[in-house]
Amino acid sequence: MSGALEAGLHAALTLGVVLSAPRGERTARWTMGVLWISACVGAAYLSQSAASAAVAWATALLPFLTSAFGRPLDAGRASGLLLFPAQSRLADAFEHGPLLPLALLLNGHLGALVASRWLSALDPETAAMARPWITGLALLAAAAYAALAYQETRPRRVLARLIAGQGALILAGLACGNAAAAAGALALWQTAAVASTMLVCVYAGLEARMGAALDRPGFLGLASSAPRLAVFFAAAAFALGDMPLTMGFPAAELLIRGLLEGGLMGLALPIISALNAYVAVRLFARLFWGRPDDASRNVPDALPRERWALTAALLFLLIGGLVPSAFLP
Amino acid sequence: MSDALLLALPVGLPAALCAALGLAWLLDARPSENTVGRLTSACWLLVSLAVASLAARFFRGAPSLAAYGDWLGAGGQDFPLGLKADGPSLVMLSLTAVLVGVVAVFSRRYMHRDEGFHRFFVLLNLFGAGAMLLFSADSFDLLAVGWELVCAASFLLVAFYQRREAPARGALYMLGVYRICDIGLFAGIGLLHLHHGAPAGPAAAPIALLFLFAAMGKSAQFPFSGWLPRAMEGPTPSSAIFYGAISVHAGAYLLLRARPLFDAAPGTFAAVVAVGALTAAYGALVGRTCPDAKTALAYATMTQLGLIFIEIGLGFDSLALGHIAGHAVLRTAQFLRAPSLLHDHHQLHSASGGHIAPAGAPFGGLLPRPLQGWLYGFALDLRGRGMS
Repeated sequence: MSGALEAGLHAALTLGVVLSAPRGERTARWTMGVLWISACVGAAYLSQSAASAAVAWATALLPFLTSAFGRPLDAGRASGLLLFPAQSRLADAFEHGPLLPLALLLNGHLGALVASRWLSALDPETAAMARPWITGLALLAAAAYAALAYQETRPRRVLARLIAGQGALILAGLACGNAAAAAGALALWQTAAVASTMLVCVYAGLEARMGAALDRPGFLGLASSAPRLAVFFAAAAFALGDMPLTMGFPAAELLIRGLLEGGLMGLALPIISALNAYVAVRLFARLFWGRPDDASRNVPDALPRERWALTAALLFLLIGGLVPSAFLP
Repeated sequence: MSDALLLALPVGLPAALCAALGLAWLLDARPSENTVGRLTSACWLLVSLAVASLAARFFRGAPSLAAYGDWLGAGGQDFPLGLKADGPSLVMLSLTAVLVGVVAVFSRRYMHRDEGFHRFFVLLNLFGAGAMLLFSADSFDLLAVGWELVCAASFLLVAFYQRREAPARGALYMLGVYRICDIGLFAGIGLLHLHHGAPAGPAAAPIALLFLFAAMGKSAQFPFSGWLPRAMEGPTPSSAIFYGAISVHAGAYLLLRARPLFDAAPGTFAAVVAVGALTAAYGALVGRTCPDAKTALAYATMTQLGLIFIEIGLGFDSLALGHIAGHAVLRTAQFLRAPSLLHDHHQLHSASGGHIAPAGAPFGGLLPRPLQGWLYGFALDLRGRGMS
C-alpha cells in the first residue's frame, strides 16, 4: 500500500516537472528520459511492497519456491534494474528543464534505500547469499557511472552521472551488511545529498546568469567574476571526491573498511573515488578557470540569499568532516 | 608545556590561520597585505619554536607522543587521532617549519600587489597545516589526511594564475596523477586494517608495493614524473616549497614510515631501487635538454629523488633523511633565486668580459661527440613524450 502511495506521489511530481518545463526545452528525448526514469522509480516502489509481501508469503508457506528460482541471480537482476543500465537515460533526462526539481526527482539514493529495504525483508540465509552479488553489481555500476562521467563533456550530463554513481556507492555500502559499510553508506548519503545539491544549485545559478553559453567547450573563466560561487562549487566537488576536511573523507574511509571486510572487491572503491574526484574537479576547472570572454566577464557573484544557503551547506560538509561521529550512528 | 599541546600547535596554528583568512574573504573583510604577511610570519615563527622545543625533548631522550581520542567512532571502527615527533618526523617537521616560514617572508615581497595575494597565503597555510599533519601523524590513516590536504593545496597553487589555460591544464594533469597514485595509499591502508595493522610474510608484500605506488606519484618517480615540469606554472615561491622542498619528499617519507612492511617482504626493496634508478637516469638525461631554469630544476629534483629512493631501497635510512634535508634546503634556495638568475648571469657575463665556461663542460669530453648527439636527441624525444 505504501509502495503504491509513493509511486503515485512520484508520478504526480514527474507530471509537474514535465508540465512546468518551458515549451522550448520540452524535447521528445528529454520527456522520454524523465518518464523512463520515473517509471523505473515507480516500479521500484511498487516492487518493494510486492517483494516484501511475496517474501513474507514465500517464507511462511512455500520455502521450496525460493530455493527453486536461484536467489542470487534474482537479487542481482533486481538490483541491476534499479541501478544500471536502467538509469542509463538519466543523463538524457538531466539535459533540459529545471535542474533543481530534476535533481530531487531523479537521484539514485531512493533506489538504494528501496533495494536495502528489500534485502532486509529477505530471510537471513537468502540475504547472506544475495549481499555479495548486490554489492558487486553496485560497485560495477558505480565504476561504470564514473567512467561515463569521465567521457561526458556537457556539465549537466556530468552532474547526472556523478549523482547516479553516488547512489550506486550508497547501495554497495547498505547491501554489504556490516556496520562499518552501513555507517559509511549513511555518511556518503548525507555527503552526496548536500554536495550534489550544492553543485546543482551553483550550476543552476550560473545557467540563470549565462544561459546556453555554459555549454561552450573549453575553459569559461568564471572565477574572476564569480569567485564565491567558484569556492562553493570547488568545496562541493572536493566533498564528492572524498577529500579530507569534508564529510566525504570519513564516508569513504568507513566504506573502504566495510567493503574490504566483505571481500577484496572493496579495492574497487579507491579507484571509483579517484575517478569521481577527478571528474568533479575537472568540471570545476572547466567552468571557473581560464580566460573569461565577453559572456562570462560580467557574471554576478553569489547573491546574499544564495550565499547564506550555500554557506550553510558548506558548513554542514565541513563540520561533518571534522566531527563525523556527530552525524553517524 | 604538555606534549599534546606542543604537537598540536604546528598543525593547529596554520590550520586556524587558513580558516580565519578564508572566512574573512568570504565575509568581504579584506585584511591588508601587511597584516596577512605578518600574521603568517608570526604563525610560522611560533610553529618553528614549537618544533624546536619538540626536538629538544627528543634529544633529551623523550620522543613526544600524544593521543587525542577517536575521530570516527562509528560503525565499530576506530580512527585514533595521535601525533608523534620521532627522528624522521622531526627532520621533516623542522624542514617544513623553517622553509615555509622563509617562503612566507619571501612571498610578501614577491607577491606584492598580485590580485591573488590573499589566496596565495590561504593556500600556503593550508599546505603548511597538511604537511605538518602528514609528518607528525602517528597512523597511516592520519597521514593520509595530511597527504590529501597537500594534494589539494598543490593542485590549487599550480593553477594559481587561473586566467591562463596552461596552469589549469597542468594542475588537472597533476591532480590526475596524484589521484591515480593515491589509490595505492588508500587500498594499502584498507588492507592494513584487514590485517589488524601488522601483516606478516607474504601479506605484507602487496601492501608495501601499494605504498610504493603511492610514493611514486607524490615523489614524481618514473613513469609518474610528467606532472613535475608542468607544475612549474605556479608562482615561484610555491614551486620552491612544494616541488623543491617539502611536497616531493612526502613519497620518500611514506617509504621510511612503511619500513616495517618492506622489512617483512624483503623482495620489495628491489622494486624501490629499480624505480629510483630509472627515475635518476631519466631525470639526469632529460634535464640536459631543458631550455629554462625552472624546468631544468624540476628534472634535477627528479634525479635527486631517484637517488633518495635508491638509498631507502638499500636500507640507508639515515643517509636518505640527510639527503632529503640537504636537497630541500638547496632546492628552495635555487627556486627562489631562479627569477633573478638570468639577470645576474648576464651581469656576471659582462663583468668577466664574456668568458664564463658553460656548465658541465669538463664532463663533456668523457663521451664521444656522436654519442653525445644521439643521447641529446633521445632525451629531447623523451621530454617531448613526457610533456605531450
